[in-house]
Amino acid sequence: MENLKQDASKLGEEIGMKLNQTASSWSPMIKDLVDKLTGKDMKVTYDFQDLHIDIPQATGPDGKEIGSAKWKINGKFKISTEVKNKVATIE
Amino acid sequence: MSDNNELNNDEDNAIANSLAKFMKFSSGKINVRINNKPTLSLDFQRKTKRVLMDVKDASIFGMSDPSDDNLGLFEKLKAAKIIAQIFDENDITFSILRKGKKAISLGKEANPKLSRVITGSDDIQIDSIRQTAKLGRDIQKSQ
Repeated sequence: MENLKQDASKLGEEIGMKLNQTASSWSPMIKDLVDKLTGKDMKVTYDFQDLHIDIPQATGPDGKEIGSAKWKINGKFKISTEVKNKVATIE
Repeated sequence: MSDNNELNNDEDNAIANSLAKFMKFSSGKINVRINNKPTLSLDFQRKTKRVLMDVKDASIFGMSDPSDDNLGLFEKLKAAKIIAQIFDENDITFSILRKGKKAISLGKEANPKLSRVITGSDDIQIDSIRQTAKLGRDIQKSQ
């Protein structure tokens, strides 16, 4: 029983580490995208059409199974940016 | 090569690897419109492990700051080779189209003949020299 608890805790840690690694590699990309949009005064529409992401169950380094994931994305995502003049005009 | 460059390359490779895995397990489409103008579309074909990126308006490439682009032609080609190899290792074929017409393919099903001489890679195939040249001109114009 104690072994089972330890195994479960170790598996939880492994999944947590994997999630952290994935999140840290995606965050610079999202930052870049926002940087590129900032101050451009434009409207970008991302239209997801029946996008399925289906990550299968994988086997970790110790032969442990790591959980699978399924996402389905449908719909539009809009980002608008507007340039506002912060400098007040002096008459 | 400096430690910083090595670190950046490792990070870039990790991002390319994550992207390849995302592509491998995805199906469906993403269409990008800028100011209501069709700009880019991505078609993930999971069954055939193909991803088609159609560049409808190259102005999307002009959005980046030109000062960020400090890579020479050799470095760009080297980066393309590494990315193509990562796609190949993940059994993915990534095709770039210009306005619906195939220009370049990278990865698994790329079967270069003449283009191997130009790119020096077994994983990059120039499908159409005409479309590739046009795409290059479109990108240059947008910058």
